Amino acid sequence: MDFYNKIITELYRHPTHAGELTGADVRSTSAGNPGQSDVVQLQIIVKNDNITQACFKAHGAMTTIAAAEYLCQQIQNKTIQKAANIGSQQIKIALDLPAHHLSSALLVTEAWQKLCQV
Amino acid sequence: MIYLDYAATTPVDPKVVTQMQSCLTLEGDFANPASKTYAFGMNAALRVDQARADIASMLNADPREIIFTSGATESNNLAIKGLAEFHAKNGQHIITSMTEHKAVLDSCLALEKRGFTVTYLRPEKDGRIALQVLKEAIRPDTILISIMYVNNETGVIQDIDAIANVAKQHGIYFHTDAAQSFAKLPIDVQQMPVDLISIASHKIYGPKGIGALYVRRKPRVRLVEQISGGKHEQGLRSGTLPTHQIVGMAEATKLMQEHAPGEQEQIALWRQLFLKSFSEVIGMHINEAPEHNLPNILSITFEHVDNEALMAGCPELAFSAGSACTSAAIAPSHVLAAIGLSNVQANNTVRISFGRFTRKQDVLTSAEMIKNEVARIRAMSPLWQV
Repeated sequence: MDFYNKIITELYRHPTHAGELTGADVRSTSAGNPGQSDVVQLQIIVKNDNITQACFKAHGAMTTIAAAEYLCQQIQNKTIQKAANIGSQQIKIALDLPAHHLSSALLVTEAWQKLCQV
Repeated sequence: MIYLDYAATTPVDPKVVTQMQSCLTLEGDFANPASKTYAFGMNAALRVDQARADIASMLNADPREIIFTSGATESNNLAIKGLAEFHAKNGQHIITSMTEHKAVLDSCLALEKRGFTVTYLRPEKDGRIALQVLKEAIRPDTILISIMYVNNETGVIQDIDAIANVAKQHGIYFHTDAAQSFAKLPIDVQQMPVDLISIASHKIYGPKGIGALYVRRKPRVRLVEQISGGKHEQGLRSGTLPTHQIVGMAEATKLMQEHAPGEQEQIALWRQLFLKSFSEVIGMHINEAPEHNLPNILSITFEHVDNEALMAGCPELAFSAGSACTSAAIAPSHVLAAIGLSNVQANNTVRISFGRFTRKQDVLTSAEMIKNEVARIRAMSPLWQV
């Protein structure tokens, strides 16, 4: 039995979007205060209005890593317009986040909203 | 699964189980040890007497100085609240430390609500209490000093012999919570002027739900009972004696004697072997007092690695966070905070503890798994720079 639910545990243990993208066409942003809270870095490559690649790095709780992985899964192969409204509520429900880890969903959403503005 | 949380509790030794089983059924010594008017009860009483003597012998104590309780938590409550209540007229000041177990801290807090004053000593960075700091805290109305023998999160050993002697010189009672150290580190009550010692069975491969409080007879230490009833245990702890639990605790104590000292040396080797696997790993810190640490408890801080994430990433291993958690919220460890760790550092700390049934392969496998997961978590962090 795991301390966290299967969804969170699976996203955390086997992320497919963890890592870093390089290149001139990479859009990048981050949220969080190093030393005080979790930190999330999000990166995407957009081609013809389509998010062809999404990538994250996350520092802190496993729920933050899981939330960042979930977001990347959701936004990849979508247009920014279509993916822009993915937010904390959707992440919270999809991951069945415990109340004291709601901050993970808020942080990932903050980074994603910033990235939509880039 | 590999069990690496022997400081939390231990599996019961099969030899202990056999002894316990002989005190449960009609064919065995199941009867109430207080019912001495017939053979069933007398036989159970004899088993309890023998167990009491076996446990007392580990402390070089008189069997009449052993009061059975439900465990070290209850022993700590009885020692601290019981002594404070009895001696309140002589003074209402108590000295303890910030790194005590919650059972001691919470008992002290309860006394504060009743008007007592408590000084919580801050340990040095290595977790040990400086004797000078203790001496400076002593007041004319100090009645009790309570300092644990070994810390449950770090394994740091306090110099309780010196502390006991300081207490004696000042005419202050001294209690030690020896839950983690009982039968691992020696205490000889004929040599050390300690008045009260809390001990537990489930940290030494005995059953949970049984422990004891050593209460010195010469000079006599007086306490007020905390559980009222049939005046068992010389009126200090009422409740029918659980023969099977008591016999189990005694068997576990005897087995510790049989296994010592080889077992402790073996565990010290496992600690070395485990740490050797991490010799190339940077950004890690061991929370210990070198030369003054019980080898079975290993508290490690891995920078940039959340302890919950590390545990969840190692589903084959059973070890614990350095912090105490409740179901609703996870609070940073008061022990790690007291020795100077930040909340972030405390959240990056895990406790690994080895024991009797740890095998070499367990040590090597778990070290490899933890090392790999630490590397994986760090690789995912935007802040980790090699």
